[in-house]
Amino acid sequence: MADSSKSKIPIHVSNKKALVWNPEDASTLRSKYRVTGTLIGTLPSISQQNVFLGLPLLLMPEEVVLLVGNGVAVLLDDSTSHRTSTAPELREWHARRIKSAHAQIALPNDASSSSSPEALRKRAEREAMRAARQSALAEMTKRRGMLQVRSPAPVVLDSLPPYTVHIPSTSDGLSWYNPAEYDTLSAASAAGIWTYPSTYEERARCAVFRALSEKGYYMGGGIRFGGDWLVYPGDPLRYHSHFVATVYPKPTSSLRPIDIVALGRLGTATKKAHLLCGWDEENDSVDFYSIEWAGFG
Amino acid sequence: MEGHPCVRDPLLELCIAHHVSYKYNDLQTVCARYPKHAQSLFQTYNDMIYVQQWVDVNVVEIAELSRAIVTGRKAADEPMRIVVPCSLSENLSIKWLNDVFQNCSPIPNEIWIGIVGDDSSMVYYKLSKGIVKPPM
Repeated sequence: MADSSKSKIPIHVSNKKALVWNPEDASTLRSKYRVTGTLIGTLPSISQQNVFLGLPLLLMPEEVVLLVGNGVAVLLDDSTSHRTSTAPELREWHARRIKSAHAQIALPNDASSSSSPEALRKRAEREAMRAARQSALAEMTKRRGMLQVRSPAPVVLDSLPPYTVHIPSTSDGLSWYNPAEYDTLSAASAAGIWTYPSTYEERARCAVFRALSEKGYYMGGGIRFGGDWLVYPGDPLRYHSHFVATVYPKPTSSLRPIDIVALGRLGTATKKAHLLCGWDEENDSVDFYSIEWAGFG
Repeated sequence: MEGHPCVRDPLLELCIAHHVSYKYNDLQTVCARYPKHAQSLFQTYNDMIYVQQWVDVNVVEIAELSRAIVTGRKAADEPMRIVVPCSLSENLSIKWLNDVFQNCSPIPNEIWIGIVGDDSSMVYYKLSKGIVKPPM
């Protein structure tokens, strides 16, 4: 495997969707390259998980084009990177998994939760208080000679303390994994792995996205506000977006006055401005216009 | 007319011709010169003066755009603003916006577009060149 691509972030393409599986890579993309992506992963055992999602990180096609075009990332084709495993390989992998599970269970709880002296002291205190309450209650009922009401047996905590399960999210440790890498968009397109952009409109979107990104903006999905992207002045975790952007692929692309009204009014109602982004292919430039309701009339 | 959906209304044109503001020479000249633009220009001009009550309102013909813009101030101490009248049925584009900005002298950072509907509904939107943050 070529070492030069080791420093590039791997983007795993699965059925034309671009996924990032490594948490450090997801963090780097966000902090260094202003690419936030969307977390879409759920735990298999929690079928209704829909609030906090985890890896993988799903990237927008324009984000992929930007990253690969800048030489920051490489495209990996997941389907051809995994060959069929042999029976001995599977047995060995299974044995390793069991061993890892046992090792995690044997750990004296997660380091962050209850193995600190403070946590252990508090737990001992709670246990002592509970024991004191129970003996006081027993004493009281004995003295009154009451029939001891049978309360339900106190819940016996499972003897197993809570533990963290580490699930490997990448295929790096698998012996049957040999990633097929493509470090240019044209190579990936020739192989049929990643074909975006393939139309004029898609190229216009990539050009506008790149122009906005180079100005330092973060982009998120715009569907909730009726546009192509939300444009943030900084990390979306810290800032509200100021703009909703719409791409106009050609300088002559139709822009109706009624659209100015609709986009402008929605923007102003949500404390944003609508950004018209016109791609001029001839000059390789983007014209920006910001729409705002005038506030009179 | 080819490519232009505005229907010329003879009765409307008669009303315009007899309106007091039409005596204002520039308005009359420009309306006659660009009949497709006349209705939105006439409507915007009168709205700015009588409804919005702006001051220093003037009609400025821009031949390159085949239309006129209306300049004025919201109040005496406000800066001069450019209003571009436009009909709801027109077909604009980014290129159209580029041309409008380029042909105003001096080149402004922002213009207001006065959109006029067939029932004389009037709405104004501010268009700024570049990425301009909305006010807080």
